[in-house]
Amino acid sequence: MNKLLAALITCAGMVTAPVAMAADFPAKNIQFVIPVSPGGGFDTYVRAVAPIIERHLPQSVNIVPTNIPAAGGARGAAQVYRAKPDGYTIGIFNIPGMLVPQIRGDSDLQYDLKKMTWLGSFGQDGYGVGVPTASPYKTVADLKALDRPVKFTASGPSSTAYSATMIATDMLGIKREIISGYKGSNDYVLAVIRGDGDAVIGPLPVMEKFVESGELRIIGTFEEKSSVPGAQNAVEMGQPDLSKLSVGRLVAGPPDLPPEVAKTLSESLMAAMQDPAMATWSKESGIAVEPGDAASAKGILEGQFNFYERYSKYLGPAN
Amino acid sequence: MLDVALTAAGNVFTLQSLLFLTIGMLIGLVVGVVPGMGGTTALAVFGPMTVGLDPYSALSLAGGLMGAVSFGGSVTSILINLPGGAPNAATCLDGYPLAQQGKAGLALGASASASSVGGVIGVFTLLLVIPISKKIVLAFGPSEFFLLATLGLVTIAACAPGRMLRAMIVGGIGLLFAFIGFDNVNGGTRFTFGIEHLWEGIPLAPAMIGLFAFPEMIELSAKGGSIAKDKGQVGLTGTLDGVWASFKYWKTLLRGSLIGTLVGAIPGVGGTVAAFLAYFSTVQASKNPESFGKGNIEGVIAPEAANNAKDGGNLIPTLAFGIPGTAEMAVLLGVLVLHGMEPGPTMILHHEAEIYGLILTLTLSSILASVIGLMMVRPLAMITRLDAHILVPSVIAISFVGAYANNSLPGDIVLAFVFGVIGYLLIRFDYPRLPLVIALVLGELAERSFAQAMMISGGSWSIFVTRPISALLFALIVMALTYPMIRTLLQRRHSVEEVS
Amino acid sequence: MSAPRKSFSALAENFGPPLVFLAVTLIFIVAAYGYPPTSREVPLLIGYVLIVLIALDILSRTSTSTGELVRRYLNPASGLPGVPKSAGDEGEEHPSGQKELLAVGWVAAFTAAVMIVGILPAVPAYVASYMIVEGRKSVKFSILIAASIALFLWLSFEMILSIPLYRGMLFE
Repeated sequence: MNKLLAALITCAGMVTAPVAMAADFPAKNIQFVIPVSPGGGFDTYVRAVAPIIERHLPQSVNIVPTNIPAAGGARGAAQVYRAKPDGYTIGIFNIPGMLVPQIRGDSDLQYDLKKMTWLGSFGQDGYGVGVPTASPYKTVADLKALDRPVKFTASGPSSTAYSATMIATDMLGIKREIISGYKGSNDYVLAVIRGDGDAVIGPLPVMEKFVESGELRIIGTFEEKSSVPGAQNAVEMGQPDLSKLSVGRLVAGPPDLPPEVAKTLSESLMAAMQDPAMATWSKESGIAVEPGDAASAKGILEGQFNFYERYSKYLGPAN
Repeated sequence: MLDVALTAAGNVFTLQSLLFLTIGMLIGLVVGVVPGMGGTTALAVFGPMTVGLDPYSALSLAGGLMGAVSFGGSVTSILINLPGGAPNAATCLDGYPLAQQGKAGLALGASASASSVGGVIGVFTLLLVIPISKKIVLAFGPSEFFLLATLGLVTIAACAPGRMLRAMIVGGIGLLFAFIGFDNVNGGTRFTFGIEHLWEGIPLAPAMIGLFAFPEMIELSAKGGSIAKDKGQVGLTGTLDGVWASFKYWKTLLRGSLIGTLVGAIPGVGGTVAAFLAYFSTVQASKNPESFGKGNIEGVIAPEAANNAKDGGNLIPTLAFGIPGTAEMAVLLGVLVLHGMEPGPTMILHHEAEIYGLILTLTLSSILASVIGLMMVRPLAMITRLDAHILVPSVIAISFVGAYANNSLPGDIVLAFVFGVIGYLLIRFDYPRLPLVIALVLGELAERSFAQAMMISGGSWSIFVTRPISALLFALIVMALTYPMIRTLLQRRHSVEEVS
Repeated sequence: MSAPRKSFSALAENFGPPLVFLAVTLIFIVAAYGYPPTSREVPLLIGYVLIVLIALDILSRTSTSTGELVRRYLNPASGLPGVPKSAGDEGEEHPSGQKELLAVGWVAAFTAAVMIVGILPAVPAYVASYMIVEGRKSVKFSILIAASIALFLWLSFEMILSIPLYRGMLFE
């Protein structure tokens, strides 16, 4: 009986703990959920940034990157969504990758991005159009002028790369045929270089690697100001809205995170992103870091929701 | 190049670098032995810990780790039919029967020498082809992937001499299993029967753990005794013979290494395919294919050589385009970034000495791991004499936890169990289980690349013969299909003549 | 020659396996018709080829002359039940059915235990109880082995690789 009582008291203690805890947060290790397998871009990112965030937390604890792949990332997202709102479980989110299933209404989706506590943004990668160096097409207008469908390479129809290709070709008025099923951005950009297709629409950092090796030419970027010399930007192509096509790396915790805990996490994230060590890493890895606070993360999310809801017919079949 | 290589050697052969190489190698061996701990996970965890070390020490640690993982995985494949990782599964096929015959020493010896020589050949091939690395990577597209996968699939019949029909049935069922999950070409999920766990398809590692280790453990559990049937002189002899066997069958060794390097060089195909293709090509080329699966030492040499040679091959797309060919390489690139090397096509220009250093540590590690392994053959081989009632629960517990840890999914434990039961029933009712494994490994690649090739060619089948490499692979498939029949006919005529 | 009346279990042993394969194939074929044409093409092709192959397998298990013919050309190594099989690594004598069921049952129980109470309690409980009950090992020795395996798993996965081991449905 005494034991039972003791157990009950302990349980009660655990329930009231968050209140007492907010002040001395974090008191134990923080789990940073990566909803993909080791080896992907998001994994590399979290593993690089975790030790830097540790340095900026008010208490010295570890940030433990934990891969939870499966169901196209939905399982990892659900894990964060369902976690106790105490700040000890946060996750990185691919936006629009995790957002598209929600708009599309995939079955058994156990998270709601709109309810999560957004903590910050590591930045967004823009998209662009690339062709093999030897290609006769110099501008997007050349592709548009073709009297046959242009073959684009992309990953599967449920992927964001596929939706991005559908949406962009539609906005630009290019007749398209999509060769789908490649396993990720490296693969489908390599495929167009190999001659599997005529052109590719993909994230700029990936394409830039192939530009550097001399195999690819970027003929248009979906940015307001083109970062690639010689490539048209979204405005010049007549579709400023194209800049909404991007891959964002956003950080969130479960819904209803106590404000003080969210503030601590958000500020440490921000400080880490502005740390010189992060700048060095970014320069060497070629992965851009654009620090964004909680408010800007929330803003990005809402902007993306609006954009993709408008193009929901291109989001592929629901799973 | 020579002076750069010398600089690299000078940096690698320092006390500190060698120390880290050894640490990495030991981690690699352990990680390889325990299923579910792949090189990718280990590198992802240990990589960031190298911050603060000089780049050579970090590379030595990473190279040591990567070079040793596959040999570690082979040890359990041979001794208890438990593949340390999916690429090690091919080693089970002949390695475990050898252990059952009390020849674990022979198999481990051959595995050690084949994997270290394979590693060296892989690296040498890499060095030779660096100038044409781009061409190699770009030469393989969907039509070639499809034909490569088909080449593997047609050997299903060849791999079960005398049981062709049943092999094809099991292979077909395996293909249906391989279609479970996301349809990468057309979108949506297929055959998941409402189970969210199956969205990403049947994960290879838990399936292999179930198909290979589980049935043996059930038999052992029901029968008692130990793995080695003859308790007399288990594993205490034959190790050196095993080491020499790799050189005796140098053609098998070379073929396995080259297949490993080539498949390693193609992004998106993977080490499991490399090991199995090496195995099948050896069966195809052999004069008595019936002896495989029953303890033919060549069946150990080929996949072992391929498994280590692929590490060299994996570096080809990385050096050519700065893109990782495998998840493991992607994590390694992350480690390189931590040490100020920007992955990309210019990496080889800016960091030549470091790259050669990495290549050197990879080679050293695969050799050193084998030497260490050889020294431990005696105690290791004792596992095959261990009482079933200690071995069975230990292996089941560790391998099922490994099945889980691969992706941190509890559902994978259930999957390992289900595939274990399937594997056991197949053996019990006299169906070969190997075709199921092959189909699981190759099915998705085959269907996806076929659909892509058709989209590229606009529906014309000529794509499979007009591209030079496709045409070559096509010819190989025709040969693989007809050769066994021709041989049977010839043998039959021969025996008829003898009788008359 | 009059064939002896076969018992039900012999019939089940003979025709059970291909019928199970047939059932699996049919499930896949039926499911495939629920997908768009491009998605079901290849699975259907494989499915229908399988039906033909399975039909041949069933035929080869009958003692008809056609069955004999199929067997000789496509499956020479597998004989009719009762006929000794050719020696192969996978075709050796099997332990009795009851022992097999018991062996599978242990693993099934372990799997269930892991799912319910999690890895860390399930592993030592399974290893120790198996060793004591099945292996008749001494309690002390069994617990020692069980504890060291659990410790090894905890140390290597949780501590070193920071992969949290599954806690079980009860505690998730």
